[in-house]
Amino acid sequence: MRYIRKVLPFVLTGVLLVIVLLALSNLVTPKNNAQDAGHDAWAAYGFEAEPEDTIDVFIIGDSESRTSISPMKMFHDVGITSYCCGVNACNLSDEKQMLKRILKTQSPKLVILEANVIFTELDWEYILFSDLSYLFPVLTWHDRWKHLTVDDFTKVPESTQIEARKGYYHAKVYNEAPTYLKDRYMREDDTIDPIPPANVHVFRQIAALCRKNGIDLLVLSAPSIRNWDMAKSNAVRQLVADEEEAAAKAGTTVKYVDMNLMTDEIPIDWDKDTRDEGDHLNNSGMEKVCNWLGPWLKENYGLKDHREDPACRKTWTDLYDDYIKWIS
Amino acid sequence: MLSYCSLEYLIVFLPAVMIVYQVLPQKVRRYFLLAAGYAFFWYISGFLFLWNIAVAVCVWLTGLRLGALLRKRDALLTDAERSRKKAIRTDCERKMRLWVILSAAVCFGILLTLKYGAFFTENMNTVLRLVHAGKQLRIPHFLVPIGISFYTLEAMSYVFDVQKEKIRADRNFFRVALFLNFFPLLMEGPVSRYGEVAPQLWNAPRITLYGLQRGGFRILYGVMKKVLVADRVNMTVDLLYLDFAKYDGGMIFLAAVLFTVQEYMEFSGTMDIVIGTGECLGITLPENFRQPFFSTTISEFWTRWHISLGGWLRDYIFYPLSMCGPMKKLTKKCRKRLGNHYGPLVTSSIALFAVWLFNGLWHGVGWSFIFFGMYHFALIVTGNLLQPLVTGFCEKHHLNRRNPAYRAFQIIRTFLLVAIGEMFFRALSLKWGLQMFVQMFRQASVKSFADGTFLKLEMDIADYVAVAAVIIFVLIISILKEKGCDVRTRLMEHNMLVRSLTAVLLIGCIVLFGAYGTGYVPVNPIYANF
Repeated sequence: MRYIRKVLPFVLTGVLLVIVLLALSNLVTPKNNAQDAGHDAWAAYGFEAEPEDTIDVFIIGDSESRTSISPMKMFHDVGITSYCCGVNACNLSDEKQMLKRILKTQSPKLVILEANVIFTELDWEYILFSDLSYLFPVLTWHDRWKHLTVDDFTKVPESTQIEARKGYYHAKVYNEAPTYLKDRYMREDDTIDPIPPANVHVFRQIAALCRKNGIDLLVLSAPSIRNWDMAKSNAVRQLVADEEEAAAKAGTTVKYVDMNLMTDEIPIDWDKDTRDEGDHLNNSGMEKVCNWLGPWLKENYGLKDHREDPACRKTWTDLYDDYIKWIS
Repeated sequence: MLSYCSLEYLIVFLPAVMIVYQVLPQKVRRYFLLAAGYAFFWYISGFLFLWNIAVAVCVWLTGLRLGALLRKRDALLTDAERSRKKAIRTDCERKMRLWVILSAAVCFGILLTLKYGAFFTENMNTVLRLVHAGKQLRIPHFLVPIGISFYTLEAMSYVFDVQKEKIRADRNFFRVALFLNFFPLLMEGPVSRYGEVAPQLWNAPRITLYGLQRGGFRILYGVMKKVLVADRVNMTVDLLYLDFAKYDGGMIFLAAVLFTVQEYMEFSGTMDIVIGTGECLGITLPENFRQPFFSTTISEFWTRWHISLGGWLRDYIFYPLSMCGPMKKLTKKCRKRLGNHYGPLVTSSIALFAVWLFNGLWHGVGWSFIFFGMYHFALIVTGNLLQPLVTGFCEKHHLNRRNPAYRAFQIIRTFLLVAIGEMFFRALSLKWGLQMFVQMFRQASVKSFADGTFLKLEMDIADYVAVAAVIIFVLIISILKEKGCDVRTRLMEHNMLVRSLTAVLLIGCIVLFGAYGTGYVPVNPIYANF
């Protein structure tokens, strides 16, 4: 009895706290996945408006992912359904939470992790905050208290905005990369860029999440003359190699593809195919990436062709013209 | 772990320490606290915690030596003839003084080298350039352990207290080490005294439900101050102090006020977390704030703001200086010539000068901090000088100095003087501080408030409302405390449901209205660099 009396205040406070945090989360979470509902990364969250279990491939990462791969182009070319959930300047922990959200409504066969995000330094404090934010979204959306409307008190969250670009961030402009970057791009180097321990920890969590759900993981380095070098490539290769055995035991695969070393297959012209001097690709750069990636994914992962799938007509086939308008 | 307000501290480190602490036997707890302190230090400053150990070893050995000298003196005094007693005492004092000087040289030497080495060398180079010496010294760059200024003062207070026989020298090194390394005190103090904290730490009492809840409320109150106010105004303060030339006097005044509020909320908020942590562990730590903005004079302000530092400076600089032989003689002479008020004022001002020079330098490396100290020195001395005139004026005109309106005037005046001092403190250099001060008056205008410029500096109207609401909340609690009503004590008298609801309400407010996450940059612990 004495023990119960001691513990009871904490249990009571804990229960009340969880109830209040969930209620606040419900209040401040945007009531739609659209931009005007308060979603800042609305393009990435567009997958929530897709019919359940219709997307086979998810691409996660930072801006490198969403500027290099166009799901709609790959659908049009080879029929695979994919969605790019990359968010500008995000980190691995954010993308881990994104993957958890994806798994609530979708059952992808493959997750592509763009490797640049692996080097965005994380600290344990942020990982903790990010994990708590997943449980209590009020931690992410709390600042919306300034913009609450009647809808926030009365409506339940829904996702209605279907994205024609499927998370791809298009750009027609080109700004050529400077010569000094071209000179040093992917120069032979045996060194290994150190990956911060917190980043390695979260990468392993992502790999474990994929294994647990029977999903293959592909770590991919999109072409970037400004962000990528051999030392990073070596580091990611080693990181991925460490996960191969565990993936094989779980009946899944984990692979690494560095597009920066595939100049024959993906002949990026750093004068024409980059929007911002070698940092990100533009539309023509994306086309070169997808021309190789789409068929390669279909062949290596046995992905289904959904072009004739009635379930995909409304959200894919019918939106292709919209997509073309966007990128033209 | 960037601050005591971090999630790592509040929901990982502290609960883990408390759980292990509670399950361990009492005699092991003290060593666990010591280990937790070093782990905390290592996590923040890496192997720089070795400096902390070095200081602990130094003062422990000095304490042992002083203890031995005192025992020897007592033994000699027992058998000595009356005529010899004074000589024995003098000889002991002389020897002790040598050991204390040696110890101070080591402890302050480490502090001066690591923290002020670059500053002194830069200034030496300026002098060398002025005298065309043709040679420049290499500027050293040392990594400074977290909280070095705090534990150095604590360490020296131990030595001084042993010398003055206020406490006995401790034979147990671990007790001294724990005093200098108790994790809540490491970053921002309060500067504690051995006699009041070390025995409690060594005793390592059990955690009680009452202490845990009471301490928990104090921690929440501190987090609220920091996350709702200090962090919310941070980007605006940064912007105003960086680009002050763009703004009119009204905005510079806003910068001074916002920083004063920010500093109070950050520092006192951290103190709430620190003292609350102590309460959770059953350890009473000294208070560092006592409603400072209710002060009617600058002198009073410094007895309510950073109390532990003020106490240290009073006990170990002001009193020893003003009570030493030459100063006593000077006081006597001045009293004869200048009378009973102004006479002692001369010597106390000399001691005050030393106090404020130390205070300014302690607060930071740079001329702006020395100026900050001198600014407060000037205000206090001016206050002392004018006191008879003001008293005479009020008596002559039958002005009631206890009148609430007069008191309000004094409080506002003190706040404004403090805010101006804080402007120099926060400015990126002394030159910038002086420019801001001049610009505040030369371009005095409220145009930026009228045209809404102040709402375009990272804070919108909702942010100002949130800040104002918390300030009012803190003000109400402060007024009640000033009137002798401790809200936490009253809260603890209520039943469990009320206490739980209050805790949840506080956490809910912090979570919902806090300035954290995307779009905010939390303020670094302002005093942790000192």
